[in-house]
Amino acid sequence: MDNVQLLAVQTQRVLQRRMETAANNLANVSTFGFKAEGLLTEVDARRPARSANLPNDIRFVRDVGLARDMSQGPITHTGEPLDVAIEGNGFFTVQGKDGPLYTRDGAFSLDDAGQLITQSGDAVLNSGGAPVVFDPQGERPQIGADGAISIAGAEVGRLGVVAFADPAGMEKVGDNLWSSKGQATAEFDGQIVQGALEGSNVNPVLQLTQIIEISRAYESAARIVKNGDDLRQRTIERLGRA
Amino acid sequence: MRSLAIAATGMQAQQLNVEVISNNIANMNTTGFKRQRAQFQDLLYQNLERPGASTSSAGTTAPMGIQIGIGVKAGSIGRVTQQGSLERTDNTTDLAISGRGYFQVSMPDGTTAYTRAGNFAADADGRLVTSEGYPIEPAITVPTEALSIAVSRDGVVEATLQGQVEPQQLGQIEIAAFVNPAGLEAQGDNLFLETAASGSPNVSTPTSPGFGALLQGFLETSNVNAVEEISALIVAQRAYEMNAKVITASDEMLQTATQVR
Repeated sequence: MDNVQLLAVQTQRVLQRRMETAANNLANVSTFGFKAEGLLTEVDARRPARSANLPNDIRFVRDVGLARDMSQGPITHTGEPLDVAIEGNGFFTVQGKDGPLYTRDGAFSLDDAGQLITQSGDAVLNSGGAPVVFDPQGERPQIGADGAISIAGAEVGRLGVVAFADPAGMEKVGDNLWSSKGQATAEFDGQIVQGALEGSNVNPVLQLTQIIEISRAYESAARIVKNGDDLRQRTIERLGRA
Repeated sequence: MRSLAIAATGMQAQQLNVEVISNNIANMNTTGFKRQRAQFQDLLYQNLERPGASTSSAGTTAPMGIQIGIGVKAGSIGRVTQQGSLERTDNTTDLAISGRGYFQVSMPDGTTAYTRAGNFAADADGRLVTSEGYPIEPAITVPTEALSIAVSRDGVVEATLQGQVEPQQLGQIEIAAFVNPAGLEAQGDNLFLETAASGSPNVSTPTSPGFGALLQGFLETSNVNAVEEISALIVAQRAYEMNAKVITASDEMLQTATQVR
Protein backbone atom coordinates (compact mmCIF):
# COMPACT_ATOMS: atom_id res chain seq x y z
CA MET A 1 0.00 0.00 0.00
CA ASP A 2 1.54 3.27 -0.98
CA ASN A 3 1.24 5.94 1.64
CA VAL A 4 1.85 9.17 -0.18
CA GLN A 5 -1.29 10.52 1.47
CA LEU A 6 -0.06 9.77 4.97
CA LEU A 7 3.21 11.53 4.24
CA ALA A 8 1.40 14.64 3.06
CA VAL A 9 -1.02 14.61 5.96
CA GLN A 10 1.85 14.40 8.47
CA THR A 11 3.50 17.34 6.68
CA GLN A 12 0.26 19.30 6.97
CA ARG A 13 0.02 18.52 10.68
CA VAL A 14 3.53 19.87 11.27
CA LEU A 15 2.78 22.93 9.13
CA GLN A 16 -0.29 23.65 11.22
CA ARG A 17 1.81 23.66 14.37
CA ARG A 18 4.35 25.95 12.71
CA MET A 19 1.48 28.26 11.83
CA GLU A 20 0.30 28.28 15.43
CA THR A 21 3.76 29.18 16.65
CA ALA A 22 4.05 32.01 14.13
CA ALA A 23 0.54 33.23 15.04
CA ASN A 24 1.51 33.31 18.72
CA ASN A 25 4.67 35.26 17.86
CA LEU A 26 2.68 37.84 15.94
CA ALA A 27 -0.02 38.05 18.62
CA ASN A 28 2.75 38.92 21.09
CA VAL A 29 4.42 41.57 18.96
CA SER A 30 3.64 44.19 21.68
CA THR A 31 4.28 42.02 24.75
CA PHE A 32 7.11 43.30 26.95
CA GLY A 33 10.08 40.94 27.15
CA PHE A 34 8.51 38.37 24.79
CA LYS A 35 10.88 35.96 23.04
CA ALA A 36 9.98 34.61 19.60
CA GLU A 37 9.76 30.89 19.03
CA GLY A 38 10.06 28.57 16.07
CA LEU A 39 9.19 24.91 15.67
CA LEU A 40 12.09 22.59 14.96
CA THR A 41 11.36 19.86 12.47
CA GLU A 42 13.41 16.91 11.34
CA VAL A 43 13.18 13.81 9.20
CA ASP A 44 11.99 10.97 11.39
CA ALA A 45 14.91 8.59 11.07
CA ARG A 46 13.46 5.88 13.26
CA ARG A 47 10.28 5.15 11.39
CA PRO A 48 10.58 4.95 7.58
CA ALA A 49 7.36 5.50 5.73
CA ARG A 50 7.70 2.27 3.81
CA SER A 51 9.43 -0.95 4.58
CA ALA A 52 11.00 -1.52 1.14
CA ASN A 53 14.76 -1.28 1.29
CA LEU A 54 15.33 1.55 -1.12
CA PRO A 55 18.54 3.61 -1.30
CA ASN A 56 16.60 6.75 -0.45
CA ASP A 57 14.09 5.85 2.16
CA ILE A 58 10.86 7.77 2.26
CA ARG A 59 10.46 9.20 5.71
CA PHE A 60 8.01 11.27 7.68
CA VAL A 61 8.72 14.75 8.91
CA ARG A 62 8.16 15.40 12.60
CA ASP A 63 8.37 18.27 15.05
CA VAL A 64 11.05 17.66 17.61
CA GLY A 65 11.12 20.75 19.70
CA LEU A 66 10.89 24.43 20.02
CA ALA A 67 13.73 26.84 19.33
CA ARG A 68 13.61 30.10 21.25
CA ASP A 69 15.21 33.21 19.95
CA MET A 70 16.73 34.60 23.12
CA SER A 71 18.15 37.71 21.45
CA GLN A 72 17.67 41.10 23.05
CA GLY A 73 14.39 42.88 22.37
CA PRO A 74 14.42 46.61 21.61
CA ILE A 75 14.72 48.82 24.69
CA THR A 76 12.36 51.77 24.71
CA HIS A 77 12.60 54.59 27.21
CA THR A 78 9.47 55.37 29.18
CA GLY A 79 10.89 57.59 31.94
CA GLU A 80 8.79 55.83 34.58
CA PRO A 81 10.96 55.10 37.65
CA LEU A 82 9.48 51.62 38.14
CA ASP A 83 9.98 50.46 34.54
CA VAL A 84 13.10 48.35 34.38
CA ALA A 85 14.67 46.63 31.37
CA ILE A 86 17.40 43.99 31.23
CA GLU A 87 20.16 44.37 28.70
CA GLY A 88 21.87 41.02 28.29
CA ASN A 89 21.08 37.49 29.35
CA GLY A 90 19.09 37.52 32.58
CA PHE A 91 15.70 37.45 34.26
CA PHE A 92 13.99 39.22 37.14
CA THR A 93 12.97 36.86 39.93
CA VAL A 94 9.29 36.81 40.80
CA GLN A 95 7.54 35.03 43.65
CA GLY A 96 5.48 32.18 42.17
CA LYS A 97 3.10 29.82 43.93
CA ASP A 98 5.65 27.02 44.04
CA GLY A 99 9.04 28.67 44.12
CA PRO A 100 10.51 31.48 42.08
CA LEU A 101 9.48 32.25 38.52
CA TYR A 102 11.36 34.48 36.10
CA THR A 103 10.39 37.31 33.79
CA ARG A 104 11.91 39.87 31.45
CA ASP A 105 8.85 42.11 31.62
CA GLY A 106 9.97 44.95 33.89
CA ALA A 107 6.74 47.00 33.92
CA PHE A 108 6.59 46.99 37.70
CA SER A 109 4.47 49.00 40.12
CA LEU A 110 3.95 49.27 43.86
CA ASP A 111 1.06 47.77 45.77
CA ASP A 112 -0.64 49.45 48.73
CA ALA A 113 2.04 48.13 51.12
CA GLY A 114 4.88 49.58 49.04
CA GLN A 115 5.87 46.15 47.69
CA LEU A 116 7.29 46.00 44.15
CA ILE A 117 4.94 43.89 42.00
CA THR A 118 4.58 42.73 38.40
CA GLN A 119 1.60 43.46 36.18
CA SER A 120 -0.19 40.41 37.58
CA GLY A 121 0.52 41.47 41.16
CA ASP A 122 3.25 38.93 41.94
CA ALA A 123 6.01 40.17 44.22
CA VAL A 124 9.38 40.97 42.64
CA LEU A 125 12.19 39.42 44.68
CA ASN A 126 15.53 40.90 45.66
CA SER A 127 18.90 39.17 45.51
CA GLY A 128 18.19 37.59 48.90
CA GLY A 129 14.93 36.03 47.66
CA ALA A 130 12.67 38.36 49.69
CA PRO A 131 10.10 40.76 48.23
CA VAL A 132 11.37 44.26 47.44
CA VAL A 133 9.56 46.71 49.72
CA PHE A 134 9.81 50.50 49.62
CA ASP A 135 8.82 53.03 52.21
CA PRO A 136 5.42 54.12 50.82
CA GLN A 137 5.99 57.78 51.60
CA GLY A 138 9.66 57.84 50.73
CA GLU A 139 11.54 59.13 47.76
CA ARG A 140 11.36 57.39 44.42
CA PRO A 141 14.01 54.65 44.15
CA GLN A 142 17.03 54.74 41.88
CA ILE A 143 18.03 51.47 40.26
CA GLY A 144 21.63 51.11 39.16
CA ALA A 145 23.05 49.20 36.21
CA ASP A 146 23.88 46.27 38.51
CA GLY A 147 20.34 46.17 39.94
CA ALA A 148 21.26 47.99 43.16
CA ILE A 149 18.28 49.89 44.55
CA SER A 150 19.08 53.10 46.35
CA ILE A 151 16.84 55.68 47.94
CA ALA A 152 18.23 59.16 48.42
CA GLY A 153 21.75 57.85 47.77
CA ALA A 154 21.66 55.01 50.31
CA GLU A 155 21.63 51.46 48.95
CA VAL A 156 18.65 49.51 50.32
CA GLY A 157 18.89 46.30 48.34
CA ARG A 158 19.45 44.72 44.99
CA LEU A 159 16.99 43.38 42.43
CA GLY A 160 17.21 39.61 42.12
CA VAL A 161 18.42 39.34 38.53
CA VAL A 162 19.72 35.93 37.54
CA ALA A 163 20.99 34.32 34.38
CA PHE A 164 20.69 30.74 33.14
CA ALA A 165 23.19 28.72 31.16
CA ASP A 166 20.47 27.51 28.79
CA PRO A 167 17.63 30.06 28.79
CA ALA A 168 16.10 28.45 25.70
CA GLY A 169 15.53 25.30 27.77
CA MET A 170 13.25 27.11 30.21
CA GLU A 171 9.50 26.73 30.06
CA LYS A 172 7.06 29.57 29.54
CA VAL A 173 4.11 29.48 31.91
CA GLY A 174 2.11 32.45 30.59
CA ASP A 175 1.66 35.94 32.05
CA ASN A 176 5.20 36.73 30.78
CA LEU A 177 6.58 34.32 33.37
CA TRP A 178 9.11 31.55 32.83
CA SER A 179 9.92 28.49 34.88
CA SER A 180 13.58 27.45 35.20
CA LYS A 181 12.78 23.72 34.99
CA GLY A 182 15.28 23.06 37.75
CA GLN A 183 18.19 24.77 36.01
CA ALA A 184 20.78 26.30 38.29
CA THR A 185 21.10 30.06 38.18
CA ALA A 186 24.27 31.64 36.86
CA GLU A 187 25.92 34.99 37.40
CA PHE A 188 24.18 37.86 35.59
CA ASP A 189 26.64 39.96 33.60
CA GLY A 190 24.31 42.28 31.73
CA GLN A 191 22.95 45.68 32.64
CA ILE A 192 19.75 46.98 34.20
CA VAL A 193 18.22 50.08 32.66
CA GLN A 194 15.82 52.09 34.78
CA GLY A 195 13.01 54.03 33.11
CA ALA A 196 12.94 51.70 30.11
CA LEU A 197 11.17 48.55 28.97
CA GLU A 198 12.27 45.71 26.73
CA GLY A 199 9.92 45.17 23.81
CA SER A 200 9.11 41.89 22.09
CA ASN A 201 11.93 40.50 19.92
CA VAL A 202 9.48 39.21 17.32
CA ASN A 203 10.53 40.28 13.84
CA PRO A 204 7.18 40.91 12.16
CA VAL A 205 8.52 40.83 8.60
CA LEU A 206 10.17 37.48 9.16
CA GLN A 207 7.03 36.06 10.76
CA LEU A 208 4.83 37.32 7.94
CA THR A 209 7.03 35.76 5.26
CA GLN A 210 6.96 32.54 7.26
CA ILE A 211 3.19 32.63 7.36
CA ILE A 212 3.05 32.98 3.57
CA GLU A 213 5.55 30.18 3.17
CA ILE A 214 3.66 27.89 5.55
CA SER A 215 0.37 28.52 3.86
CA ARG A 216 1.85 27.77 0.40
CA ALA A 217 3.61 24.66 1.66
CA TYR A 218 0.30 23.51 3.08
CA GLU A 219 -1.29 23.97 -0.34
CA SER A 220 1.37 21.90 -2.06
CA ALA A 221 0.99 19.17 0.55
CA ALA A 222 -2.73 19.19 -0.19
CA ARG A 223 -1.93 18.85 -3.88
CA ILE A 224 0.15 15.77 -3.13
CA VAL A 225 -2.85 14.24 -1.38
CA LYS A 226 -5.01 15.07 -4.38
CA ASN A 227 -2.51 13.75 -6.93
CA GLY A 228 -2.03 10.56 -4.93
CA ASP A 229 -5.74 10.09 -4.90
CA ASP A 230 -6.06 10.75 -8.65
CA LEU A 231 -3.32 8.26 -9.34
CA ARG A 232 -5.08 5.62 -7.34
CA GLN A 233 -8.37 6.34 -9.03
CA ARG A 234 -6.83 6.04 -12.49
CA THR A 235 -5.13 2.81 -11.54
CA ILE A 236 -8.43 1.33 -10.49
CA GLU A 237 -10.08 2.52 -13.71
CA ARG A 238 -7.35 1.11 -15.98
CA LEU A 239 -7.10 -2.19 -14.20
CA GLY A 240 -10.85 -2.47 -14.00
CA ARG A 241 -11.14 -2.11 -17.80
CA ALA A 242 -8.85 -5.03 -18.50
CA MET B 1 -6.99 25.50 13.44
CA ARG B 2 -5.69 27.15 16.61
CA SER B 3 -3.87 29.88 14.71
CA LEU B 4 -7.24 31.53 13.90
CA ALA B 5 -8.00 31.92 17.60
CA ILE B 6 -4.42 32.95 18.40
CA ALA B 7 -4.48 35.71 15.80
CA ALA B 8 -7.90 36.80 17.10
CA THR B 9 -6.41 37.37 20.58
CA GLY B 10 -3.68 39.44 18.89
CA MET B 11 -6.26 41.55 17.09
CA GLN B 12 -8.27 42.06 20.27
CA ALA B 13 -5.14 43.14 22.12
CA GLN B 14 -4.18 45.62 19.42
CA GLN B 15 -7.72 46.96 19.33
CA LEU B 16 -7.52 47.65 23.06
CA ASN B 17 -4.13 49.25 22.46
CA VAL B 18 -5.65 51.59 19.85
CA GLU B 19 -8.50 52.42 22.25
CA VAL B 20 -6.07 53.38 24.99
CA ILE B 21 -3.98 55.45 22.56
CA SER B 22 -7.05 57.22 21.19
CA ASN B 23 -8.17 58.11 24.71
CA ASN B 24 -4.71 59.55 25.36
CA ILE B 25 -4.83 61.62 22.18
CA ALA B 26 -8.38 62.78 22.96
CA ASN B 27 -7.13 64.01 26.35
CA MET B 28 -4.08 65.76 25.00
CA ASN B 29 -5.39 69.09 26.28
CA THR B 30 -7.09 67.87 29.47
CA THR B 31 -5.70 69.59 32.55
CA GLY B 32 -3.90 67.16 34.86
CA PHE B 33 -4.52 64.15 32.59
CA LYS B 34 -2.12 61.22 32.98
CA ARG B 35 -1.64 59.06 29.93
CA GLN B 36 -2.33 55.34 30.01
CA ARG B 37 -0.45 52.43 28.56
CA ALA B 38 -1.78 49.00 27.61
CA GLN B 39 0.52 46.24 28.85
CA PHE B 40 0.26 42.76 27.40
CA GLN B 41 1.04 39.29 28.63
CA ASP B 42 1.33 35.98 26.83
CA LEU B 43 -1.41 33.44 27.50
CA LEU B 44 -0.93 29.93 28.81
CA TYR B 45 1.22 27.50 26.87
CA GLN B 46 0.08 24.08 25.76
CA ASN B 47 2.74 21.49 26.34
CA LEU B 48 2.49 19.14 23.40
CA GLU B 49 5.74 17.50 24.36
CA ARG B 50 7.32 18.29 27.71
CA PRO B 51 11.01 19.13 27.80
CA GLY B 52 12.79 16.22 29.41
CA ALA B 53 10.22 13.67 28.27
CA SER B 54 11.66 10.21 27.83
CA THR B 55 12.33 9.26 24.20
CA SER B 56 13.66 5.72 24.62
CA SER B 57 14.02 2.92 27.10
CA ALA B 58 17.76 3.68 27.21
CA GLY B 59 17.01 6.80 29.21
CA THR B 60 17.40 9.43 26.50
CA THR B 61 15.24 12.50 26.95
CA ALA B 62 14.01 15.26 24.68
CA PRO B 63 16.23 18.32 25.24
CA MET B 64 13.47 20.70 24.24
CA GLY B 65 9.75 20.33 24.45
CA ILE B 66 7.08 21.69 22.19
CA GLN B 67 5.11 24.45 23.79
CA ILE B 68 2.47 26.14 21.71
CA GLY B 69 1.39 29.50 23.03
CA ILE B 70 -2.25 30.34 22.62
CA GLY B 71 -2.00 34.09 22.20
CA VAL B 72 -1.92 37.29 24.14
CA LYS B 73 -4.06 39.16 26.65
CA ALA B 74 -4.12 42.60 28.18
CA GLY B 75 -2.30 42.22 31.49
CA SER B 76 -3.05 45.68 32.74
CA ILE B 77 -3.58 49.23 31.62
CA GLY B 78 -0.99 51.22 33.49
CA ARG B 79 -1.23 54.90 34.20
CA VAL B 80 1.96 56.82 33.59
CA THR B 81 2.05 59.26 36.50
CA GLN B 82 4.86 61.43 35.18
CA GLN B 83 4.51 65.14 35.88
CA GLY B 84 2.84 67.08 33.07
CA SER B 85 4.35 70.40 32.11
CA LEU B 86 3.21 73.51 33.95
CA GLU B 87 1.45 76.19 32.01
CA ARG B 88 1.13 79.73 33.23
CA THR B 89 -2.46 81.05 33.20
CA ASP B 90 -2.23 84.03 35.62
CA ASN B 91 -5.65 83.10 36.94
CA THR B 92 -5.42 83.41 40.74
CA THR B 93 -7.63 80.37 41.40
CA ASP B 94 -5.65 78.07 39.08
CA LEU B 95 -3.36 75.83 41.08
CA ALA B 96 -0.83 73.24 39.97
CA ILE B 97 1.01 70.65 42.03
CA SER B 98 4.68 70.36 41.19
CA GLY B 99 5.67 66.95 42.51
CA ARG B 100 3.70 64.25 44.29
CA GLY B 101 0.15 64.68 45.54
CA TYR B 102 -3.50 65.11 44.60
CA PHE B 103 -6.03 67.80 45.50
CA GLN B 104 -8.90 66.45 47.59
CA VAL B 105 -12.43 67.05 46.38
CA SER B 106 -15.67 66.44 48.38
CA MET B 107 -18.13 64.56 46.23
CA PRO B 108 -21.89 65.10 46.56
CA ASP B 109 -22.22 61.62 48.14
CA GLY B 110 -19.84 62.54 50.95
CA THR B 111 -16.82 60.60 49.68
CA THR B 112 -13.51 62.17 48.76
CA ALA B 113 -12.16 62.15 45.23
CA TYR B 114 -8.66 63.15 44.13
CA THR B 115 -7.52 65.23 41.19
CA ARG B 116 -4.44 66.82 39.66
CA ALA B 117 -6.56 69.34 37.73
CA GLY B 118 -6.29 72.59 39.67
CA ASN B 119 -8.57 74.72 37.51
CA PHE B 120 -10.68 75.85 40.45
CA ALA B 121 -13.09 78.77 40.66
CA ALA B 122 -15.23 80.37 43.34
CA ASP B 123 -18.90 79.39 43.32
CA ALA B 124 -21.88 81.60 44.35
CA ASP B 125 -21.05 81.09 48.04
CA GLY B 126 -17.39 81.95 47.49
CA ARG B 127 -16.23 78.34 47.98
CA LEU B 128 -13.35 77.13 45.83
CA VAL B 129 -14.81 74.41 43.57
CA THR B 130 -13.74 72.26 40.62
CA SER B 131 -15.20 72.87 37.19
CA GLU B 132 -18.05 70.48 38.15
CA GLY B 133 -18.79 72.55 41.25
CA TYR B 134 -17.45 70.08 43.81
CA PRO B 135 -15.76 71.92 46.70
CA ILE B 136 -12.15 71.22 47.54
CA GLU B 137 -11.32 69.74 50.90
CA PRO B 138 -10.64 71.30 53.42
CA ALA B 139 -13.12 73.90 52.17
CA ILE B 140 -11.79 77.36 51.34
CA THR B 141 -14.35 80.18 51.23
CA VAL B 142 -13.36 83.43 49.62
CA PRO B 143 -15.22 86.39 51.18
CA THR B 144 -17.10 88.60 48.72
CA GLU B 145 -15.12 91.67 49.77
CA ALA B 146 -11.82 90.03 48.87
CA LEU B 147 -9.78 91.98 46.35
CA SER B 148 -7.38 89.19 45.56
CA ILE B 149 -6.27 85.87 46.95
CA ALA B 150 -2.78 84.47 47.25
CA VAL B 151 -1.82 80.81 47.62
CA SER B 152 1.65 80.04 48.94
CA ARG B 153 3.81 77.09 47.87
CA ASP B 154 2.87 75.29 51.08
CA GLY B 155 -0.87 75.73 50.53
CA VAL B 156 -1.78 78.66 52.80
CA VAL B 157 -4.59 80.70 51.20
CA GLU B 158 -4.77 84.39 52.09
CA ALA B 159 -7.07 87.16 50.88
CA THR B 160 -6.53 90.89 50.75
CA LEU B 161 -9.73 92.54 51.90
CA GLN B 162 -11.02 95.97 51.05
CA GLY B 163 -9.73 98.54 53.53
CA GLN B 164 -7.39 96.15 55.37
CA VAL B 165 -3.64 96.25 55.32
CA GLU B 166 -2.94 92.78 56.68
CA PRO B 167 -4.10 89.88 54.49
CA GLN B 168 -6.60 87.55 56.10
CA GLN B 169 -5.85 83.82 56.22
CA LEU B 170 -8.66 81.82 54.60
CA GLY B 171 -7.39 78.31 55.13
CA GLN B 172 -4.82 75.69 54.33
CA ILE B 173 -5.00 73.48 51.24
CA GLU B 174 -3.94 69.91 51.96
CA ILE B 175 -2.94 67.37 49.36
CA ALA B 176 -3.02 63.58 49.44
CA ALA B 177 -0.26 61.24 48.27
CA PHE B 178 -0.60 57.54 47.47
CA VAL B 179 1.87 54.70 47.59
CA ASN B 180 0.73 53.55 44.17
CA PRO B 181 -0.93 56.46 42.37
CA ALA B 182 -1.17 54.29 39.22
CA GLY B 183 -3.68 52.16 41.15
CA LEU B 184 -6.22 54.97 41.57
CA GLU B 185 -9.54 54.42 39.84
CA ALA B 186 -10.35 57.06 37.23
CA GLN B 187 -13.83 58.38 37.75
CA GLY B 188 -14.11 60.75 34.78
CA ASP B 189 -14.24 64.54 35.17
CA ASN B 190 -10.48 64.38 35.97
CA LEU B 191 -11.31 62.73 39.30
CA PHE B 192 -9.81 59.63 40.86
CA LEU B 193 -11.01 57.38 43.66
CA GLU B 194 -9.00 55.47 46.22
CA THR B 195 -8.78 51.68 45.65
CA ALA B 196 -7.23 48.75 47.47
CA ALA B 197 -4.36 48.90 44.96
CA SER B 198 -3.63 52.60 45.45
CA GLY B 199 -3.38 52.34 49.24
CA SER B 200 -4.94 54.80 51.62
CA PRO B 201 -4.22 58.50 51.16
CA ASN B 202 -1.52 60.16 53.19
CA VAL B 203 -2.70 63.74 53.68
CA SER B 204 -0.32 66.55 54.44
CA THR B 205 0.44 70.15 53.60
CA PRO B 206 2.27 70.82 50.32
CA THR B 207 6.11 70.98 50.45
CA SER B 208 6.27 68.68 53.48
CA PRO B 209 8.71 65.78 52.84
CA GLY B 210 7.52 63.57 50.01
CA PHE B 211 4.88 66.05 48.80
CA GLY B 212 4.88 68.50 45.93
CA ALA B 213 4.55 72.27 46.06
CA LEU B 214 1.58 74.38 44.97
CA LEU B 215 1.98 76.92 42.23
CA GLN B 216 -0.63 79.63 41.94
CA GLY B 217 -1.56 80.88 38.46
CA PHE B 218 -0.35 77.66 36.81
CA LEU B 219 -2.09 74.56 35.51
CA GLU B 220 -0.57 71.14 34.97
CA THR B 221 -1.08 70.13 31.34
CA SER B 222 -1.74 66.61 30.17
CA ASN B 223 1.41 64.45 30.08
CA VAL B 224 0.43 63.01 26.69
CA ASN B 225 3.15 63.40 24.09
CA ALA B 226 1.49 63.64 20.68
CA VAL B 227 4.44 62.31 18.68
CA GLU B 228 4.83 59.33 20.99
CA GLU B 229 1.12 58.51 20.78
CA ILE B 230 0.95 58.79 17.00
CA SER B 231 3.93 56.51 16.54
CA ALA B 232 2.38 54.05 19.02
CA LEU B 233 -0.82 54.24 16.98
CA ILE B 234 1.04 53.36 13.78
CA VAL B 235 2.73 50.41 15.46
CA ALA B 236 -0.60 49.18 16.88
CA GLN B 237 -2.33 49.50 13.53
CA ARG B 238 0.40 47.53 11.73
CA ALA B 239 0.36 44.86 14.42
CA TYR B 240 -3.41 44.60 13.95
CA GLU B 241 -2.94 44.16 10.22
CA MET B 242 -0.31 41.48 10.73
CA ASN B 243 -2.62 39.48 12.95
CA ALA B 244 -5.37 39.85 10.35
CA LYS B 245 -2.91 38.47 7.80
CA VAL B 246 -2.46 35.37 9.97
CA ILE B 247 -6.22 34.87 9.94
CA THR B 248 -6.28 35.17 6.14
CA ALA B 249 -3.42 32.69 5.78
CA SER B 250 -5.04 30.23 8.22
CA ASP B 251 -8.29 30.58 6.35
CA GLU B 252 -6.53 29.79 3.07
CA MET B 253 -5.04 26.69 4.67
CA LEU B 254 -8.47 25.57 5.82
CA GLN B 255 -9.84 26.23 2.36
CA THR B 256 -7.07 24.13 0.85
CA ALA B 257 -7.90 21.37 3.27
CA THR B 258 -11.56 21.36 2.33
CA GLN B 259 -10.77 21.38 -1.39
CA VAL B 260 -8.57 18.30 -1.31
CA ARG B 261 -11.50 16.20 -2.33
